[in-house]
Amino acid sequence: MKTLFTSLAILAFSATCFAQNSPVPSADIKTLDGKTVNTSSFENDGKPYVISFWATWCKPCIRELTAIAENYEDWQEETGMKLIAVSIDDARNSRKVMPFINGMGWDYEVYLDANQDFKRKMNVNGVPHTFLVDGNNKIVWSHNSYAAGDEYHLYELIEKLSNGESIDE
Amino acid sequence: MRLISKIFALFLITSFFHGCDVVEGPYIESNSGGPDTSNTKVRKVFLEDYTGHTCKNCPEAAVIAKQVADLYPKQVITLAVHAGFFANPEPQPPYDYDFRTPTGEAWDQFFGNSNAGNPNGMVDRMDYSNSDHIKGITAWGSLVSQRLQEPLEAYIVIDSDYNSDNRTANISVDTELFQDLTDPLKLVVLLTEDSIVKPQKDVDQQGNSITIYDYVHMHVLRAAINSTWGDELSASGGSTGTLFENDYSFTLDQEYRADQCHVVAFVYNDLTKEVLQAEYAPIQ
Amino acid sequence: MNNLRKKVLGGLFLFSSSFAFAQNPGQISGNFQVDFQVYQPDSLIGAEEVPEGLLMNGFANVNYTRDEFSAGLRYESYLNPMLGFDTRYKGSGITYRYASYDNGFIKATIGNFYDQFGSGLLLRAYEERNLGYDNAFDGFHIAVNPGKGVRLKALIGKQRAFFDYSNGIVRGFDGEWVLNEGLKSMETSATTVIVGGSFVSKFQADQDPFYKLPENVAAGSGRLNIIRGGFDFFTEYAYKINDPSAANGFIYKPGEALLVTASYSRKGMGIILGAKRIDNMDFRSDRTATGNVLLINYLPALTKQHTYTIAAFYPYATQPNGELGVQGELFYTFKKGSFLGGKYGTKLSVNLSAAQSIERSPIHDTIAVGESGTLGYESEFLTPGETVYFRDFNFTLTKKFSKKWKGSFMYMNQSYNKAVIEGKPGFLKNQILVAEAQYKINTRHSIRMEAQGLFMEDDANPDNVDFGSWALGLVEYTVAPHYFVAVQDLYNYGNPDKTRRIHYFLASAGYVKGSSRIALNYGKQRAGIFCVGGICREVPASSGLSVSITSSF
Repeated sequence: MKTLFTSLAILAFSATCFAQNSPVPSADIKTLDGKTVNTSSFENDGKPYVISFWATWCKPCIRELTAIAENYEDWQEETGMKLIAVSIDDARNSRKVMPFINGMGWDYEVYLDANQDFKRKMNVNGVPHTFLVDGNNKIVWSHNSYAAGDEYHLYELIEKLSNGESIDE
Repeated sequence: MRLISKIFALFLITSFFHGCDVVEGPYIESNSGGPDTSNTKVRKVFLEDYTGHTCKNCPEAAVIAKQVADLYPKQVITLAVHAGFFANPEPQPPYDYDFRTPTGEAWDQFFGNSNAGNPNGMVDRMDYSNSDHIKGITAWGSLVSQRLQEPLEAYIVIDSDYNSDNRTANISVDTELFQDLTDPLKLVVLLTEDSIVKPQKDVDQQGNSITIYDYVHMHVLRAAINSTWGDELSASGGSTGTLFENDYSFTLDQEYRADQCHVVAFVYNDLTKEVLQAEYAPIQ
Repeated sequence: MNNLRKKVLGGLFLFSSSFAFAQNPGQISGNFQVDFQVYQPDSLIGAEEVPEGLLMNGFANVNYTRDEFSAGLRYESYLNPMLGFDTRYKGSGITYRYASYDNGFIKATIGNFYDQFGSGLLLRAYEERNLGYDNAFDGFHIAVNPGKGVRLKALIGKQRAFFDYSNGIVRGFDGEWVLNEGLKSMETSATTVIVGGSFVSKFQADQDPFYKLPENVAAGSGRLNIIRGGFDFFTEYAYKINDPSAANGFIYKPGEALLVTASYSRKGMGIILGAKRIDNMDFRSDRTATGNVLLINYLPALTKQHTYTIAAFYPYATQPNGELGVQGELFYTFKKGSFLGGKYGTKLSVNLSAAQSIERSPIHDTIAVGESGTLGYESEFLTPGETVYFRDFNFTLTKKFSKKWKGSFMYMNQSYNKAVIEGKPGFLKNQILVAEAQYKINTRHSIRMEAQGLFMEDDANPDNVDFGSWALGLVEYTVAPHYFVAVQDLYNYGNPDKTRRIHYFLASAGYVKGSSRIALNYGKQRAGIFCVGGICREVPASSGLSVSITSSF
């Protein structure tokens, strides 16, 4: 048992050497009009972007995406950023995603990960889970759960990236 | 690319032809049961039914247990273990009586039967080591029939001498090995009572819960004559022909009716918890 | 076994460290979660003594990716399983490992995998770790993208149950075609049309002494999706040949399922209507399995998934043996500056859902409906049965009042057939109110408050009152981006048993740093049904301290 945990700990440690600045992993997910795209094709013209995992039944996710939506136009104008909202809703709710997004009036780029392949590739434990990706398509930061005000912290980091600074947390 | 598509099409067509077994009625097997084995030493299977008096789906389990036992006369040793949530007595009648036993509760905790949802059971406690030991009631028939085809590993003979004056039985349990075995072996000896008339929840045709006030409970586990996990016969098995002789003296509780009581004994492998053989005999 | 585990892990470590020096080392990533609870017996709420005192569930995933190759494993440990989890999880082991090659045209996976065909009516392997549900396959999976909008998948495998795999073998094939990408005439069309079909068959030997059982059970399905502008129409139909099982009471009737949804949306409003009919569609890789074990398919509940604590007390679960369901939902934003929109706009959602039995009539005068070893029953396709399973009407209003204040209000009216959904007698009628307010102190500090009430309709029959009415108050204080504390009082003020009108106090605190989260809970938790996605588990009452740690790397 001890050996096991030691190996896991070492693995976890050695992994952190790699995980920083790793590219967005490849997985097949669907657009709202049913077409399949691969996540390795995500990009934002060399500008930073956010990948946010959410679900229609997840209250904190909706609070987070609503809070960001209130500032989204300004943020896009100032830094050229965008947000990719990946819904992990399964067959029970996945058909609701499009009317829901429209009803909320959100302008995000939305994908469906009903089989949770992308969620597994990104090692997401639970939603909401937000990733920040830099202009070179490298994941530089991630945050699990949402508390009111988290969006300002996220935006500070986006501003840093768009000013060419590095994120050291 | 074309080739791949063709391979897929071929796969699809072949799987269509092989994947369909539409059964035409009648759907019930017509069978006359196994051969008469009353005079030969054969494998006997230990079938445990984890149940409770407020479990409305549990009478169905008792029906299946009886069907299986009728199919293989004297080769199925049935035990009804009342344990867990549905066996808890309620403060008010009709479900204020208590069929729970410390032994039954301990097994239920260990094997997790009531946690998995009653009714369910175990067949010779097989597959404990890979967490697949809890068997749905509809699996009992096929599991027992498969198990009975395996060669005899041990044979148990129970002899009980009951004295009605002091309500005490002197019980001897002889276990003979029919294979060379190396794992530790244990023997558990139990007391069961038949034909106890007490209320039981059941379901009607529409699936509604009803109470059967004169329900007849069979094979009810009453007590461990030795102990929950039994006596060790051997820490390292034994060779073919080895005979283990165990004697017990047991006094019947006043409320148990001696003419309805049976002694149940089973031998199990202590590493895998798998039961090798079981037997039962009237206490009188 | 333990030795094997050591070797596997040691090997993996060597393997991974050797890559650190290679040209392209690839990536290692993963996540883990550990939950444990120290239990205190509490006779008042019915929390029984836990002999171990402390119970723990944990898992860790480790994935390795290098170009077109990826591999990974998951180690799970339940020592012993926490209350509410199936005790067959007792123990530890590697429960998931795979290797996969993907060059964009073809993807092959060996070992464990998850997948879903269409909406899952025929096949869906997935995991809900927090509910202890995992029906992953172990076998071989291949997916091909020959281009022109066509995607093909084939799989063969056995399904996981706890630390073991099913006896039955599942084989499946699925094809999907986006017509717009395949047909020249459709390329420029504003209408997207997608068609798909699946075939799934399971094999399980028949050794049953009582019934003549089909060893190979096949099922097929077809689906169609049409999208144009804001319109979206989707339908899927599935059919299964005779599949007598413990779940359907060993009847030989074929099964079928139909799912239809249509939605229209434009910015500021969305509306969706859905209907489904399910008849004898429980499909498992072991015909003797019961409970949430070894399900091959997934039959989604057509009801709203509530997340407010009290609104989620009585969740609906699909009845795979037969059900008619309909649902409608509207999402609407009242624009800023309008009468109802105010300065910041107001959001409204309205949902109505209903589930009902299907009509069932005997196949013959002498045979009861559902009698085992027969065709079971006959059913008129569109005639609803007489039994109400579930009704839910609810609406939610969300409004931002000022820069500092936000609020939500929800009303819900629910009918819940406990006898059908939980298998315990009773039919409950509830009205539920929830009010939520959030006050932002500054950009980092904020307070959120919830007041919830469940008002159960009184009834002379105690079965129809269950635990009676409840009230809940919650205050949560968060400091972004790291801390949260919350206190909650759940008060069972309407319990018909006056000695059980108990306050369930619960205090929580947590710390979040990046993708790591530690949360503590101390207090009492009621017995109840907890659901995520489509499945639920029953959790007994408990009292004590629980800790949950999650992280990903």
